[in-house]
Amino acid sequence: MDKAIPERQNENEGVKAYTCQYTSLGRSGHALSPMEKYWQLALRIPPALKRRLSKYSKLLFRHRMDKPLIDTGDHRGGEEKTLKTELKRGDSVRIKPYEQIACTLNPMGKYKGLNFLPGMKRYCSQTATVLKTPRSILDRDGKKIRECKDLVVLDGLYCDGKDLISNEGCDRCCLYYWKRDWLEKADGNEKSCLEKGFADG
Amino acid sequence: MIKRLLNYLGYRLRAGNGARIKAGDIVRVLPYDEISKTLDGSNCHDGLLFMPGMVKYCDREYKVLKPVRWIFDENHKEMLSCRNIIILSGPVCDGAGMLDGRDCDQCCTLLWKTAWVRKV
Repeated sequence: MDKAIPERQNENEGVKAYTCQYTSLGRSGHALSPMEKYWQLALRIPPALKRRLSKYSKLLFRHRMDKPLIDTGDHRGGEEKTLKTELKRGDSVRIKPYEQIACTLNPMGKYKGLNFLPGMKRYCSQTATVLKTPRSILDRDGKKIRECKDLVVLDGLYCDGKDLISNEGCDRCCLYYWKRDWLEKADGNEKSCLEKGFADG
Repeated sequence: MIKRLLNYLGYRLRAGNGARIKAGDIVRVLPYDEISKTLDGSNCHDGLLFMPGMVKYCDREYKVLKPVRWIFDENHKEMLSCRNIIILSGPVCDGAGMLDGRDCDQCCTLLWKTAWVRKV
Protein backbone atom coordinates (compact mmCIF):
# COMPACT_ATOMS: atom_id res chain seq x y z
CA MET A 1 0.00 0.00 0.00
CA ASP A 2 2.94 2.29 0.69
CA LYS A 3 4.05 2.02 -2.91
CA ALA A 4 0.76 3.51 -4.08
CA ILE A 5 1.96 6.92 -2.95
CA PRO A 6 4.88 8.29 -4.93
CA GLU A 7 7.65 9.94 -2.94
CA ARG A 8 7.79 13.58 -3.93
CA GLN A 9 11.15 15.22 -4.32
CA ASN A 10 11.90 18.44 -6.11
CA GLU A 11 15.00 19.60 -7.88
CA ASN A 12 15.44 23.35 -7.52
CA GLU A 13 18.57 25.09 -8.72
CA GLY A 14 20.57 21.91 -8.44
CA VAL A 15 19.79 21.46 -4.75
CA LYS A 16 17.66 18.49 -3.91
CA ALA A 17 14.74 19.29 -1.64
CA TYR A 18 13.14 16.53 0.38
CA THR A 19 9.43 17.03 0.78
CA CYS A 20 7.47 16.35 3.93
CA GLN A 21 4.51 17.98 5.66
CA TYR A 22 6.65 20.55 7.43
CA THR A 23 8.85 21.57 4.51
CA SER A 24 5.70 22.20 2.45
CA LEU A 25 3.81 23.88 5.26
CA GLY A 26 3.35 27.08 3.24
CA ARG A 27 0.84 25.32 0.99
CA SER A 28 -1.45 24.14 3.77
CA GLY A 29 -1.27 27.25 5.93
CA HIS A 30 -2.41 30.77 5.24
CA ALA A 31 -0.96 34.14 6.10
CA LEU A 32 -2.34 35.54 9.32
CA SER A 33 -5.31 37.84 9.02
CA PRO A 34 -4.81 41.42 10.28
CA MET A 35 -6.83 40.55 13.40
CA GLU A 36 -4.64 37.53 14.12
CA LYS A 37 -1.52 39.63 13.58
CA TYR A 38 -2.74 42.09 16.21
CA TRP A 39 -3.44 39.20 18.57
CA GLN A 40 0.05 37.80 17.99
CA LEU A 41 1.56 41.21 18.61
CA ALA A 42 -0.45 41.71 21.76
CA LEU A 43 0.55 38.28 23.05
CA ARG A 44 4.22 38.94 22.43
CA ILE A 45 4.35 42.06 24.56
CA PRO A 46 4.18 40.46 28.06
CA PRO A 47 6.89 37.81 27.39
CA ALA A 48 9.06 40.45 25.71
CA LEU A 49 8.77 42.68 28.75
CA LYS A 50 9.51 39.73 30.99
CA ARG A 51 12.64 38.91 28.98
CA ARG A 52 13.90 42.46 29.19
CA LEU A 53 13.18 42.72 32.88
CA SER A 54 14.94 39.43 33.56
CA LYS A 55 17.93 40.74 31.58
CA TYR A 56 18.20 43.77 33.85
CA SER A 57 17.64 41.70 36.96
CA LYS A 58 20.49 39.45 35.81
CA LEU A 59 22.75 42.51 35.57
CA LEU A 60 21.71 43.73 39.00
CA PHE A 61 21.89 40.38 40.75
CA ARG A 62 24.55 38.73 38.66
CA HIS A 63 26.23 36.87 41.49
CA ARG A 64 22.93 35.30 42.51
CA MET A 65 21.66 34.51 39.01
CA ASP A 66 24.93 33.03 37.77
CA LYS A 67 25.38 30.70 40.66
CA PRO A 68 23.72 27.61 39.17
CA LEU A 69 25.37 28.25 35.79
CA ILE A 70 28.88 28.62 37.21
CA ASP A 71 28.51 25.39 39.13
CA THR A 72 29.98 22.96 36.63
CA GLY A 73 29.89 20.01 38.95
CA ASP A 74 29.99 16.86 36.91
CA HIS A 75 26.73 15.08 37.51
CA ARG A 76 27.51 12.51 34.88
CA GLY A 77 28.45 9.35 36.65
CA GLY A 78 29.89 6.20 35.17
CA GLU A 79 26.41 4.83 34.72
CA GLU A 80 25.59 7.27 31.92
CA LYS A 81 28.71 6.36 29.99
CA THR A 82 27.46 2.84 29.68
CA LEU A 83 23.93 4.14 29.07
CA LYS A 84 25.09 5.78 25.82
CA THR A 85 25.64 2.44 24.20
CA GLU A 86 22.67 0.72 25.74
CA LEU A 87 19.89 3.21 25.15
CA LYS A 88 17.36 2.02 22.61
CA ARG A 89 13.70 2.27 21.76
CA GLY A 90 11.43 1.14 24.57
CA ASP A 91 13.95 1.70 27.36
CA SER A 92 12.66 3.35 30.48
CA VAL A 93 14.61 6.45 31.53
CA ARG A 94 14.28 8.99 34.28
CA ILE A 95 14.84 12.65 33.50
CA LYS A 96 17.23 14.20 36.00
CA PRO A 97 15.99 16.89 38.39
CA TYR A 98 16.06 20.39 36.98
CA GLU A 99 18.81 21.49 39.36
CA GLN A 100 21.18 18.90 37.90
CA ILE A 101 20.25 19.75 34.31
CA ALA A 102 20.64 23.48 34.98
CA CYS A 103 24.25 22.87 35.99
CA THR A 104 25.04 21.53 32.52
CA LEU A 105 23.59 24.56 30.71
CA ASN A 106 25.63 27.48 29.49
CA PRO A 107 24.42 31.09 29.96
CA MET A 108 22.46 30.75 26.72
CA GLY A 109 20.51 27.86 28.22
CA LYS A 110 22.16 25.30 25.94
CA TYR A 111 24.08 22.13 26.47
CA LYS A 112 26.27 20.98 23.57
CA GLY A 113 24.18 23.11 21.22
CA LEU A 114 20.80 21.85 22.39
CA ASN A 115 18.40 24.26 24.03
CA PHE A 116 16.69 23.34 27.24
CA LEU A 117 13.29 24.89 26.68
CA PRO A 118 11.14 26.22 29.52
CA GLY A 119 8.41 23.68 28.80
CA MET A 120 10.82 20.81 29.45
CA LYS A 121 11.09 21.72 33.10
CA ARG A 122 7.73 20.18 33.98
CA TYR A 123 8.98 16.76 32.87
CA CYS A 124 12.07 16.82 35.08
CA SER A 125 12.34 13.99 37.64
CA GLN A 126 9.73 12.05 35.65
CA THR A 127 10.09 8.68 34.00
CA ALA A 128 9.53 8.19 30.27
CA THR A 129 10.08 5.70 27.49
CA VAL A 130 12.61 6.14 24.70
CA LEU A 131 10.96 6.55 21.31
CA LYS A 132 14.06 7.07 19.19
CA THR A 133 17.71 8.06 19.36
CA PRO A 134 18.05 10.37 16.32
CA ARG A 135 21.13 10.02 14.13
CA SER A 136 20.23 12.14 11.09
CA ILE A 137 17.49 14.71 10.79
CA LEU A 138 16.19 16.79 7.92
CA ASP A 139 16.60 20.51 8.32
CA ARG A 140 13.38 22.49 8.21
CA ASP A 141 14.17 23.93 4.78
CA GLY A 142 14.26 20.37 3.47
CA LYS A 143 17.68 20.73 1.87
CA LYS A 144 20.19 19.85 4.56
CA ILE A 145 20.63 16.63 6.44
CA ARG A 146 22.08 17.15 9.88
CA GLU A 147 23.97 14.49 11.76
CA CYS A 148 23.36 14.44 15.47
CA LYS A 149 24.48 12.37 18.42
CA ASP A 150 23.62 11.90 22.07
CA LEU A 151 20.02 12.91 21.41
CA VAL A 152 16.99 11.06 22.66
CA VAL A 153 13.32 11.50 21.83
CA LEU A 154 10.99 10.41 24.61
CA ASP A 155 7.53 9.10 23.94
CA GLY A 156 4.63 11.43 24.66
CA LEU A 157 6.66 14.43 25.88
CA TYR A 158 5.31 17.11 23.55
CA CYS A 159 6.16 20.78 23.39
CA ASP A 160 3.17 22.91 24.30
CA GLY A 161 4.64 25.94 22.51
CA LYS A 162 3.37 28.28 25.21
CA ASP A 163 6.61 29.93 26.24
CA LEU A 164 8.15 30.08 22.79
CA ILE A 165 6.75 32.66 20.42
CA SER A 166 3.97 34.03 22.51
CA ASN A 167 1.61 32.85 25.19
CA GLU A 168 -0.63 31.02 22.73
CA GLY A 169 2.24 30.33 20.34
CA CYS A 170 2.97 27.40 18.12
CA ASP A 171 0.55 24.47 17.90
CA ARG A 172 3.02 22.14 16.23
CA CYS A 173 3.37 19.81 19.25
CA CYS A 174 6.93 18.74 18.48
CA LEU A 175 8.44 16.05 20.64
CA TYR A 176 11.25 17.41 22.79
CA TYR A 177 14.85 16.41 22.19
CA TRP A 178 16.80 15.41 25.27
CA LYS A 179 20.54 15.06 25.73
CA ARG A 180 21.56 11.69 27.05
CA ASP A 181 23.42 13.36 29.89
CA TRP A 182 20.08 14.68 31.13
CA LEU A 183 18.73 11.17 31.50
CA GLU A 184 19.45 8.20 33.66
CA LYS A 185 18.26 4.69 33.31
CA ALA A 186 15.17 3.80 35.31
CA ASP A 187 13.84 0.56 36.61
CA GLY A 188 11.25 -0.99 34.36
CA ASN A 189 8.84 -1.09 37.29
CA GLU A 190 8.43 2.68 37.51
CA LYS A 191 5.41 4.18 35.84
CA SER A 192 6.17 6.52 32.94
CA CYS A 193 4.65 9.98 32.45
CA LEU A 194 2.17 8.53 29.96
CA GLU A 195 0.94 5.89 32.37
CA LYS A 196 0.58 8.45 35.13
CA GLY A 197 -1.35 10.69 32.77
CA PHE A 198 1.17 13.45 33.39
CA ALA A 199 2.29 13.88 29.79
CA ASP A 200 0.16 15.48 27.13
CA GLY A 201 -0.34 12.18 25.34
CA MET B 1 -8.32 33.35 26.70
CA ILE B 2 -7.90 33.75 22.96
CA LYS B 3 -8.86 30.12 22.40
CA ARG B 4 -12.09 30.62 24.33
CA LEU B 5 -12.78 33.68 22.26
CA LEU B 6 -12.09 31.83 19.00
CA ASN B 7 -14.38 29.02 20.10
CA TYR B 8 -17.04 31.53 20.97
CA LEU B 9 -16.78 33.07 17.54
CA GLY B 10 -17.42 29.68 15.99
CA TYR B 11 -13.84 29.14 14.90
CA ARG B 12 -14.20 25.41 15.47
CA LEU B 13 -13.11 22.35 13.65
CA ARG B 14 -15.40 19.81 12.11
CA ALA B 15 -14.52 16.19 11.42
CA GLY B 16 -15.39 14.36 8.21
CA ASN B 17 -18.72 13.33 9.71
CA GLY B 18 -19.54 16.90 10.72
CA ALA B 19 -18.93 16.46 14.45
CA ARG B 20 -17.01 19.10 16.34
CA ILE B 21 -13.44 18.19 17.28
CA LYS B 22 -11.51 19.46 20.26
CA ALA B 23 -8.45 18.34 22.19
CA GLY B 24 -9.04 15.10 24.05
CA ASP B 25 -11.68 13.74 21.67
CA ILE B 26 -11.29 10.23 20.32
CA VAL B 27 -11.30 10.04 16.53
CA ARG B 28 -10.93 7.23 14.05
CA VAL B 29 -8.68 7.80 11.06
CA LEU B 30 -10.49 6.82 7.87
CA PRO B 31 -9.27 3.82 5.86
CA TYR B 32 -6.67 4.72 3.26
CA ASP B 33 -9.10 4.01 0.42
CA GLU B 34 -11.40 6.76 1.67
CA ILE B 35 -8.57 9.20 2.36
CA SER B 36 -7.11 8.68 -1.11
CA LYS B 37 -10.39 9.95 -2.62
CA THR B 38 -9.78 13.32 -0.95
CA LEU B 39 -6.24 13.67 -2.34
CA ASP B 40 -5.26 15.51 -5.49
CA GLY B 41 -2.58 14.49 -7.98
CA SER B 42 0.22 15.50 -5.63
CA ASN B 43 -1.20 13.56 -2.65
CA CYS B 44 -2.41 16.73 -0.97
CA HIS B 45 -5.73 17.74 0.50
CA ASP B 46 -6.14 21.49 0.76
CA GLY B 47 -2.36 21.80 0.47
CA LEU B 48 -1.54 19.31 3.22
CA LEU B 49 0.58 16.40 2.09
CA PHE B 50 -0.48 12.87 2.96
CA MET B 51 2.84 11.18 3.70
CA PRO B 52 3.48 7.51 2.84
CA GLY B 53 4.23 6.76 6.49
CA MET B 54 0.72 7.83 7.48
CA VAL B 55 -0.89 4.80 5.84
CA LYS B 56 -0.08 2.55 8.80
CA TYR B 57 -2.10 4.81 11.11
CA CYS B 58 -5.24 4.56 8.98
CA ASP B 59 -8.36 2.84 10.28
CA ARG B 60 -7.32 3.24 13.92
CA GLU B 61 -8.50 5.30 16.84
CA TYR B 62 -6.47 8.06 18.48
CA LYS B 63 -6.93 10.88 20.92
CA VAL B 64 -6.79 14.42 19.55
CA LEU B 65 -3.76 16.12 21.05
CA LYS B 66 -4.40 19.59 19.71
CA PRO B 67 -6.26 21.39 16.94
CA VAL B 68 -3.72 23.42 14.99
CA ARG B 69 -4.57 27.06 14.50
CA TRP B 70 -1.21 28.76 14.38
CA ILE B 71 1.97 27.10 13.32
CA PHE B 72 5.45 28.48 12.78
CA ASP B 73 6.83 27.82 9.30
CA GLU B 74 10.57 27.61 9.91
CA ASN B 75 11.25 27.41 6.20
CA HIS B 76 9.84 30.87 5.54
CA LYS B 77 10.27 32.13 9.12
CA GLU B 78 6.68 33.21 9.56
CA MET B 79 3.64 32.28 11.56
CA LEU B 80 0.84 30.70 9.56
CA SER B 81 -2.81 30.28 10.25
CA CYS B 82 -4.20 26.78 9.68
CA ARG B 83 -7.72 25.54 9.23
CA ASN B 84 -9.11 22.05 9.78
CA ILE B 85 -5.82 20.53 10.85
CA ILE B 86 -5.36 18.44 14.00
CA ILE B 87 -2.52 16.60 15.69
CA LEU B 88 -3.23 13.14 17.06
CA SER B 89 -1.58 11.74 20.14
CA GLY B 90 0.65 8.86 19.15
CA PRO B 91 1.25 8.97 15.38
CA VAL B 92 4.77 10.21 14.74
CA CYS B 93 6.57 10.39 11.41
CA ASP B 94 9.11 7.57 11.22
CA GLY B 95 10.87 9.22 8.28
CA ALA B 96 11.60 5.82 6.77
CA GLY B 97 13.65 6.11 3.59
CA MET B 98 13.02 9.83 3.29
CA LEU B 99 16.63 10.91 2.83
CA ASP B 100 17.70 8.92 -0.21
CA GLY B 101 17.16 5.63 1.52
CA ARG B 102 18.26 6.91 4.92
CA ASP B 103 15.75 7.53 7.67
CA CYS B 104 14.91 10.97 8.99
CA ASP B 105 14.97 10.67 12.79
CA GLN B 106 13.31 13.98 13.54
CA CYS B 107 10.15 12.32 14.93
CA CYS B 108 7.78 15.08 13.83
CA THR B 109 4.17 14.78 14.85
CA LEU B 110 1.93 14.20 11.85
CA LEU B 111 -0.67 16.70 10.74
CA TRP B 112 -4.12 15.38 9.86
CA LYS B 113 -6.91 17.08 8.00
CA THR B 114 -10.22 16.83 9.80
CA ALA B 115 -11.64 15.34 6.60
CA TRP B 116 -9.39 12.33 7.18
CA VAL B 117 -10.86 11.46 10.58
CA ARG B 118 -14.25 10.63 12.03
CA LYS B 119 -15.25 11.36 15.60
CA VAL B 120 -16.06 8.24 17.57
